[in-house]
Amino acid sequence: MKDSEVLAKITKGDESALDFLYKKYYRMMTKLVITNSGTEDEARDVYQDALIVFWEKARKGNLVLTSKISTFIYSICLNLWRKELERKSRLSSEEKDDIEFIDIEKKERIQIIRTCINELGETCKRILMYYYFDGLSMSDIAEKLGYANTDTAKTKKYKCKKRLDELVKAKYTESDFMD
Amino acid sequence: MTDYQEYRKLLDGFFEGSLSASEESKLMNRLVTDADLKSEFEFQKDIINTIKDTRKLELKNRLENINIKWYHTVSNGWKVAATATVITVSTLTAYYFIDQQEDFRNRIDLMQNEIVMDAFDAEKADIPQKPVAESPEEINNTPSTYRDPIVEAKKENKVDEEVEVTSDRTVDVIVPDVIEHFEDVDNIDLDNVTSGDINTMGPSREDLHSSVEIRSVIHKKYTFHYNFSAGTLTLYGNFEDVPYEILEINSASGKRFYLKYKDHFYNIINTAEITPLEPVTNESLINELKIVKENK
Repeated sequence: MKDSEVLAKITKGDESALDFLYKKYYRMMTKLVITNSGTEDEARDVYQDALIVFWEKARKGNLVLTSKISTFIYSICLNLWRKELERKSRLSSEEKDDIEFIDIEKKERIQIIRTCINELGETCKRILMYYYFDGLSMSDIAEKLGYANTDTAKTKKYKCKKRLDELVKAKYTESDFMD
Repeated sequence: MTDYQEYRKLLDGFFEGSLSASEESKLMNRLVTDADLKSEFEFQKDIINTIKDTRKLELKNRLENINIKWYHTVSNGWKVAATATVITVSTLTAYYFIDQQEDFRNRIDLMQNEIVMDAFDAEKADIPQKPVAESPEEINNTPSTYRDPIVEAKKENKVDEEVEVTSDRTVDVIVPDVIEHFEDVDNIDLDNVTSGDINTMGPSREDLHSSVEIRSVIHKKYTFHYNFSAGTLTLYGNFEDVPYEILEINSASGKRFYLKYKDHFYNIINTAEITPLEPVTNESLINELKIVKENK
């Protein structure tokens, strides 16, 4: 598959393009991390994150490739791995305790939201993910999820978001109360 | 629309990315002074970021479930390089052996002449010299007046007595199959040789072009091994960092393959079993392989 074909598939939201890229450059990208003090698990993690960053950028439609896709992904991997090394280095310093304290509170909040997202049901979850992460238009969402028209998708999205806000607020209050 | 509703709408627009620069600026200014709005902003930010993270996690799980084989075939670039090397080396080796065989043939002729010369040396016989053929056509059109001394000697039953080759003169030469139709060889285009052409060239050159499929495999257990069967050579180990070459030698005893990796040559034999790569230790063979490689 040529780079242009891969991009065309991503624009359509076809996730098989992501699978293709993952398999194609797996060795090249993971090697970058492994040969720079990373483990195989870290390498896989960085590569997966890099592909998702690429997907997100390509999905937004404002990605102008001036190089091959592989070069672009490689540079993302490189940046992500640098950041990870910096994070590790910071963690080994005295700031560690403070960061962990902040993380626990945030993690708790995020966990509540995550639970609520899962309670929404598959359709609502998909609509919100496609809208906020993949940046799909309402007409794309309508087509992907088989709605009659854009308005139906729009209404559905509004209701799903409202329900999620309510669920999280309710749970968050509950959690505060328990503390 | 109340003041709060207006800013709440701006908040939604902000997370949907639909605000103009002035609207965004208006919202940001308000966030500095309005604690409730700021709290709602943080709440919405967490929700939307978690939605995004959930989707990322879903995509990550999708990638995680892709079965990446424990081996990776050689990239096309390496395949092309390896195949090109095999073809080039094969072709040049074929030329080399053609020349070698011609040398052998000439040497045998010379030796035969020498032996005959020795046999007749005492008498200083005036032996007609075999004309040197300049071209294959001339070989075939060798004048019928020329008489080969050995043939003549045989005819006269003198060879056994007169041309008695002593043991120290016995030359043990392994003669490769000599091309029967010499004129055909000169006209063969080695780049477009077909199996039919090859057969006419004799069994020592079965195939000038490699049909060997080469792949490299990363394996936990086998780190410098290979197997070679059904025309597929599989190299186990990390062969992607350093260019390697496969030398295909068409010898009188059939095809022989060698791996040139880093500064060493390794034997490749036909085996379906995964076998450790053993370096060639025979110095003269190493030198020959070097010559073949350098001449490619």
